[in-house]
Amino acid sequence: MEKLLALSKVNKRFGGVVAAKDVDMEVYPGEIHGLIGPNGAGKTTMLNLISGITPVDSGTITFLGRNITKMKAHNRARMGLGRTFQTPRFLDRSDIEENILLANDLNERISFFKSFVSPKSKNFIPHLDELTRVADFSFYLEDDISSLTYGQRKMLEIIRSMITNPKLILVDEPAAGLNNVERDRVMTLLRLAAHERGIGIVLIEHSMDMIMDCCQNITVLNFGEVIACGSPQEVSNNEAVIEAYLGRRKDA
Amino acid sequence: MNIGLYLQLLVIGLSMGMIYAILAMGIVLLVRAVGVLNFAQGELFMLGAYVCYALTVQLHMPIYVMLIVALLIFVLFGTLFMFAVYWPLRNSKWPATIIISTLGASVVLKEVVKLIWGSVPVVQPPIIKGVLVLWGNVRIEYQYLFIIGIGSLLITAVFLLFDKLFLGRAMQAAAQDSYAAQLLGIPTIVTTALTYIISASLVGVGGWLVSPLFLVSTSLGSFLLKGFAGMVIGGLGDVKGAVIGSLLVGVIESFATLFTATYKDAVVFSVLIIVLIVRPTGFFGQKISEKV
Amino acid sequence: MKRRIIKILVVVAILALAAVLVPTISSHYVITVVNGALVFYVGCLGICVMLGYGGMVSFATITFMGLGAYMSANLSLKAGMPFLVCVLGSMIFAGLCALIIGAILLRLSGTFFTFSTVALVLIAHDLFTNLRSLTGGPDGMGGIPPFNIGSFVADTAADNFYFLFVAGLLAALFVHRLKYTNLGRRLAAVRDNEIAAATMGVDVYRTKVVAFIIAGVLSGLSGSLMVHNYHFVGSSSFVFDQSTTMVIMAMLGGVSHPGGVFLGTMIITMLPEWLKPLQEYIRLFYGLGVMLLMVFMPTGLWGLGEQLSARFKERFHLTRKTLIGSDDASSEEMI
Repeated sequence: MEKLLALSKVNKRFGGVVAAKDVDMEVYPGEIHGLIGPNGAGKTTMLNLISGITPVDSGTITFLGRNITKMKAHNRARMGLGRTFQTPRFLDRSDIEENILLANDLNERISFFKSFVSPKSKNFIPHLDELTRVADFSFYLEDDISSLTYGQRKMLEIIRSMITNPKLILVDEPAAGLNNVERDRVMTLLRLAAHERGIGIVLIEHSMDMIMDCCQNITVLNFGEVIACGSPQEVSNNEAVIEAYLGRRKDA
Repeated sequence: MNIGLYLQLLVIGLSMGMIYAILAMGIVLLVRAVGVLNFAQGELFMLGAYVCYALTVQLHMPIYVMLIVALLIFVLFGTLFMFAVYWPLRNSKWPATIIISTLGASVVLKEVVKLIWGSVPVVQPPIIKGVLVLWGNVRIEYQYLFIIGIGSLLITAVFLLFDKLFLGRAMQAAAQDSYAAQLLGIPTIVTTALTYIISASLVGVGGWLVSPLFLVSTSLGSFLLKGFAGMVIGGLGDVKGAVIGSLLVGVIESFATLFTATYKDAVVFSVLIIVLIVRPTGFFGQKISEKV
Repeated sequence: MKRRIIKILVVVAILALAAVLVPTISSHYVITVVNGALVFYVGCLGICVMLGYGGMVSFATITFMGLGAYMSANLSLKAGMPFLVCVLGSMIFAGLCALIIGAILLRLSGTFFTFSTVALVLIAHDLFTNLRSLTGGPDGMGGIPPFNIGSFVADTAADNFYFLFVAGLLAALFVHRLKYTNLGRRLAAVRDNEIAAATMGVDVYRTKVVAFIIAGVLSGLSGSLMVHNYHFVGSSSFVFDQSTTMVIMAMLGGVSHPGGVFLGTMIITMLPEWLKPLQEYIRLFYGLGVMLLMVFMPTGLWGLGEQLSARFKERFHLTRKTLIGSDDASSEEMI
């Protein structure tokens, strides 16, 4: 199958701290790819490098067969590279509709003049409704973002990303701070995205159950280096991984 | 002859640069601690000049008493200013509110000064009288040398306090981050207030230094813009950069008078804009990136 | 939909009433003051776009007004162009300058951008004062022809009012509509969270520059209206203090809505007229007012009004909302 995303020998340093060292990684369409590692292993940095928020020092990133290493974040987003954050990032001072419309702009791509004549598209509503039903919650489109609970905001962020019709979504700890019910809904959403729509997903998550449950492949990072890569079984039996996790526990 | 003229211009430029540097440092301290660009800093500077004028000329205080009283007043100003302009707005959803509020404060301070001292400029006698005659008609007023001396002292003190000593760095960290403040056991309110006090005192003293060279009037507030220019040329949020940038601004401005009197300010701000085009982060600034 | 039509009708009725009443029943003096306010209103709409929509504090408004004003003055005095050509020329010229200047200054972020606009105002004022051949310097340029279209020439303050009213209305409608376009959303995204904006495909830098250009064009229009309204332009109009006053106008009324900006412009222009005996303290009140405003009403009078009306509608279930997601979940939440 055609590769969606490929990292090759990606390096990044912040002063003396190595955040990524010769990282290789591949993600395929319809795959949920876990990215795990102890705290400070450089997972979020990796997502920032892929989405273009931080530039890489060296190495290449290929997305949809195109070298995007030097491409700006917004152009990567326009190519279909979505992203969610550890703490959801919305337009805090706008209502939910505006937030979703912003995502919809990325999907519909209407010109300024067309949007000046008929400003508010309604085309996204069935899609939004469908996804919200999958996530099993509800809201009023005209309400403020602050009317949603934390868990709902995290789910809405994934939904917003799916509304942009992306090829790949980078998901940063979607289940952190969520209860078990909400966590299951997040997993349902991600599975729907990957398995039914063929979207590739890079998933950072601390909950091992969730990772083992829904990932086809896992990359394990420690101090910015890939120490293991493979299926959940391979990774969980890997000596280096056990050492990284248990070794840490011994130190602590 | 020419060398003499250049020397005079250099001394004047450096002493004005010192004044701008004092203003710039005042701003940088606040930018680093609370991330706010204070548009009223120039008015605090002007207020410093007026307070010292009132104490020396109107109340006939000897210089040492005057300095102590003035410092106490500056401390009060700093505290009041923080509680009026920064503290109520620190958690505002609109980042622009604090800037606009400092703008309001600058208008208020200017008007209050006008109500107390009138809008006619007043004259402050030199702190140190006399002229140094180097040769022929190459003369330098002692006041300029005095400014350079005191200015260097203040700059060194601030530099040591905030860039080298643990206390200063801790203070800045604590003002930015309540977690760091907890570790230090100092409430954020104290560190923030201290930063405002030091900043207000600095520019207050700056106002005192510059007052004999110019008429004391509400237009002294516009000195802030040169301080800003120096800070941006030097680098955003860096004390060393701000000082070097400000000295540069002073010297450029002084030498610009050789060619043009009318465009003196335009020359300075054009240099600023050129620097911005070539190096948006200034000469010593590093890119400040947001943690994701 | 019905309610929307009623709302539009009410607004149109109020505007029509104002258009008829102001020039007919007001004294010549009041019309002159209102005309001055309308001139500044158009410039303040630029602040609405920059600050209200895009969250960028810019003091450059007054400079672009100056550029527009001098362009218009030169076009009409030296080239003998009719009013409409002058206005268009001013807007294009101000827009082009905004493109170049904005592309440079917007490389800076946040407060540093704000300061660079202050520097711009100072440089521009120096230039306006000293480039005598183009600007007339501090003595200014007089005898600028009044508003005219074809053979119609505005002779009275009331005639001027109609021109300014139409220009202000068109500009306000444009700015109001802008908020709901994709550009408006991109601006909101830039204002609220630049990183989130970038991951939503928003070119942050470009969006900012476009907003700066729009503000520049509006300011250019305002400057052009200014010279044709007063028949005079002098460099002392384009000083930093005037720029702060305009920002204060916009903030007082409510910077994110053209209606709010209108309220603020009117209040600040009228205030000195109403408070003649307190003339000496008026700027002190501005300053204190702004400081209090920022603490208690950062969204201005209009924001306050919106909050109250939202609460009222909520209370009496007047809002019609679109429910998204399952009905079960919503009933769950109701409890």
